[in-house]
Amino acid sequence: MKKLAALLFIFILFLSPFAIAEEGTTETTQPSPPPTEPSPPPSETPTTQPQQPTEPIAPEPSSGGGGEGGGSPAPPPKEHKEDSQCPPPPSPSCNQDQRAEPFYQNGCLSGYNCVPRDGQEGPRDQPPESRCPPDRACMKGEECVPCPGQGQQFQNIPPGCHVEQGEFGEFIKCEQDKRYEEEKKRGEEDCRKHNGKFIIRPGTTAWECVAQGQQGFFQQGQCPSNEQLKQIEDQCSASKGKTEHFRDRSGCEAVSCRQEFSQGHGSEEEKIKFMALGCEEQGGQFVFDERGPNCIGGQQQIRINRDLKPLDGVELLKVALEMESVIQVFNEISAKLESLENYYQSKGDEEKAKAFEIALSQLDGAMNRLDEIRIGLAENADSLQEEDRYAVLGDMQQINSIIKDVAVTLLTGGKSKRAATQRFEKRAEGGFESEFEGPEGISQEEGFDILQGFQNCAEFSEDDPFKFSPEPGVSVKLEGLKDRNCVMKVNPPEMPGEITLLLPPEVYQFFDGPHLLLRDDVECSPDFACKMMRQQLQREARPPERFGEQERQREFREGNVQDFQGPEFPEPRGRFEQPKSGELRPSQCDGAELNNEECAKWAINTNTLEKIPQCKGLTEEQCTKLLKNSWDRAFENKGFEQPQQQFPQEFKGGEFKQEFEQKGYPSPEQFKQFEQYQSQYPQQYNYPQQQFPQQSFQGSSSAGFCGDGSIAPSLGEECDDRNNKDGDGCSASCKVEQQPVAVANVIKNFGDWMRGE
Amino acid sequence: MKKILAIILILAALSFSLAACSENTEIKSDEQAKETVVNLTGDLDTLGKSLDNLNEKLS
Repeated sequence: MKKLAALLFIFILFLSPFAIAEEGTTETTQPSPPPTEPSPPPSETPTTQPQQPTEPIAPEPSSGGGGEGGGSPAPPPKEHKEDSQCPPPPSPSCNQDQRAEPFYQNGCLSGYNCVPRDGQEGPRDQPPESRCPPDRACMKGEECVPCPGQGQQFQNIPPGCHVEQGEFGEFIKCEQDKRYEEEKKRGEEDCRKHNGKFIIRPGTTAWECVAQGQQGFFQQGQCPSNEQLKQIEDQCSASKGKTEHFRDRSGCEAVSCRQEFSQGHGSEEEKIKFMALGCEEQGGQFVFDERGPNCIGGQQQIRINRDLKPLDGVELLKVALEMESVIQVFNEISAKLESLENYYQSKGDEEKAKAFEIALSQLDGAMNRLDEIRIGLAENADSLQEEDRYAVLGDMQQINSIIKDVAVTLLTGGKSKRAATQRFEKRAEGGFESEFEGPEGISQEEGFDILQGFQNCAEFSEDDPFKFSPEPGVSVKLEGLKDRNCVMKVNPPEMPGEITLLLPPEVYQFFDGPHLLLRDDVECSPDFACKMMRQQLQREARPPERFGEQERQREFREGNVQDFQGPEFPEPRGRFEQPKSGELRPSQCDGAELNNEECAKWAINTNTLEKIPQCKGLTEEQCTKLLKNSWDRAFENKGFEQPQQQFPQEFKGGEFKQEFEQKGYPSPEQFKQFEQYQSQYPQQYNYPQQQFPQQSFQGSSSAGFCGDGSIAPSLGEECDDRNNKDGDGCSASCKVEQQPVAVANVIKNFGDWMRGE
Repeated sequence: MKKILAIILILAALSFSLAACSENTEIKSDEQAKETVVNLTGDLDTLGKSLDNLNEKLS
C-alpha cells in the first residue's frame, strides 16, 4: 500500500510541471524590478515624461487618461469634492442583467460602469472588489489599464488631431498647425543667429536654443566657445527665457535657453496639440495613457550636471552592483522580445518579426554598453577620472533614450518613421550628397546629423539607405540591420567595389566617430580594402577605446578570472590611463605578495618572453633582471615598499582572501566587512579631490608640499611622485593608492555568480 | 526499490525545474502576444526609472 502511495505521489509530481508550463503559456509574469529604490526621474531625462515641468495637464474626465493616480474608480476617493465643485454626472444606462457602479476622477463623480449583477461572473482578471472604467478594464498591479487591443475612449481630442490605431496601441496624430510652424520657424531663425541649435523638448510645449560646439566626422568634437555661451545667455535674458547650464557628453560647458510656445499658455486642447506635434517631430509617439497625455520616446538631449558630487570607490562599486541587477532585467525583457519575434516568425508575419528584431537589437546594444560601463566602473573604482564620469553619464542617458525607442518600436509595431529619418530623406531628395560635399567638408549641424544617422540605423534599408559623404569623393550608406548589426557600405574614391562593415548594436547605437570602426567586433570585408581603410582611420581618427570596453573585451578574451590565471601586464587604458611600460607589476604579484624578483621569475615561467613587451629579444636571465630593476626603480621613485601592505592581514591573507579565491565571490557579510574596513581607512578610499587643497599646501615651506618629490610625513604624505595626479600609484594628495584589482574582482565575480556563470 | 524511487524523484525534480525555466518563453496566441507587449512597455518604464536612479547616483 505504501508503495502504491509513493508511486501515486511521484506520478503527481510528474504531472505538476506540465500543468505549470501550460499555465505559463497563458499568463506572463513581470520581471522582478531591480533592487534600486525608486526615485523620481530627473527633469531632463524623464522616462516617459509623465510629469510636465510646468502646469501638468489634467485630461478631461472623459479622456480616458487618469492623470496622477488615475486608476481604480471605486471606492470614492478620499478627496471627494463637494457636488457644487463638480460638473453634473451623466445618468447611468445599463442592461437588465447589469448594475451601475459609479467611478470617480479628480474627486468628482465621472460616470458609471455597467458591471454584472451579483452572482454573475465578472470580467476576466478583474478582482470582484475593484471595478475599472470601461476604457481601462484590466488590472495591472493595482492600476486599471487598457486591456490588450482595447481602444481608449479619446473624447477630448484637439481639433485637427485624430486617433490612429496601431497594432499594440492607439496614438494621437495631429495635422500641421500654421501657428506652430510659424512660431517654430521664428525660433529656429533666432537661434541660428546666436549660433545655437534649435530643439523641441519631447512632451513639452517648449523649445530650446542650445549652444553647441563643432562636431566633424573625423575630428573630435570641440566645446562651444565662451562667446557662444554668452550670446545664448544674453539672448535668453532679453527674450525672458529660462537659462539652463549643464555639461554635454564630452564634458563641455553648455547652456540652453528655454522658451514656451505662445500656445503653451493657451487652452488645454491647444497645449495637447502642440505637445503632440513636438513629440512626433522629435521621433516620439504621443498617447493618452493611464497617466494622461504622454510622449513616449523622442530624441533626448544629453545633459549632465555641471558640478558632480564627489564619489568614493565604495559608492562606485555599489552603483556597479546595482547595474548588475538592471542587466538582469534587460535579460528578462530580451527573452520576452525573442519569444515575440519567434512567435511572429512562426506565424509568417515577417513585418512584425522584423519589428521585434529591431527592438532586440536596440536592447542588446544598450545592455552590452551598460555591461561595459559596469566592468569599467568596477575596475576603475579607485581611479575614476572626471572625464570618465561624463562619458559614463552621457552613455547612461543614451541607454535610457534607447529604452524609450524600444517602447516606441513595440507600440507601433515598427511602423513608426522617426522625424530624424524623414529629415534625412528630405535632404536626400534635394541632393543630399552634393549638400554635404564641399571644400571645407561637412558643416557642424551635418556632423551631428550623421552621428544621429548611425544611431537610427535600424530605420534604414537597402532600398532606402541613409547616405552621406564624410569627405569629397567618399560616399557612405547605412542600409539598416542585418542579424541585428548595422550594415554600412563605404565607397572610397578610385575603388571599383565597396567596403561592407557590420556594426554591432553597442557600436552603431553609441556611434560618436569613425574611431569605433577600428574595434575588433566590427566585421569588415573585403580584407585588403578593410586593411587600407583601417590604416587611413588610424591616422585620422582618435583611439577606439571607450570607457569600460577594453576591460570587458579583455574579460571575454581571457576569461572572467584572468587575474588568477596568467600574468597580466598593465596595458594602456585608452584615453584615461597610460601606465608606462615596466612601471607596474602584474596584479597577481601583489595578490601573492611576491617580491620583484619572484614576480619576474613567475611572469617568465608562466608566459613566453614574446608576450612580455619589455623582454623581446632578451634571454630569460636578462629579462628577469630587467623586470626586477625597472620595478625596483619604479617602487623607489614612488616612495613605497613593495609588495604593498595596504590590506590588514585579515583581508589580505586571511579568511576573506581564502574564501574569495575559493568561491570567486564574497558573501554579503564579507562585503560589509570590506566596507567597514574602508570606512576605517578612509585615506585610501576617499575621493582624493576632497583632501587635495588642504594637504598640498598646508605646513611650513621647509616641509615642502605634495608633488615636490620628497615625502613629508609631517604633512601626512605617504608618497610623492612629483605630480598631483590620481591613478598612478600615488594619489593627488600623496597617499598611496590601493590597487583596484581585488575590489574589481569582487564586483566581476559577484556579477558572474548572480548570473550563474 | 529505493534506487528506483530516488531516480524517479530526481527525474521529477529535473522536469520540474526545466518547466519552471521554460515557462513564459513560448507565446502561443495573438492575445498572449498583445498582453506580453503591454507588460513589456511597463517593464521598460521600470527599467528607465532604474537607470534614472543610477544616473542620479553617479551625477
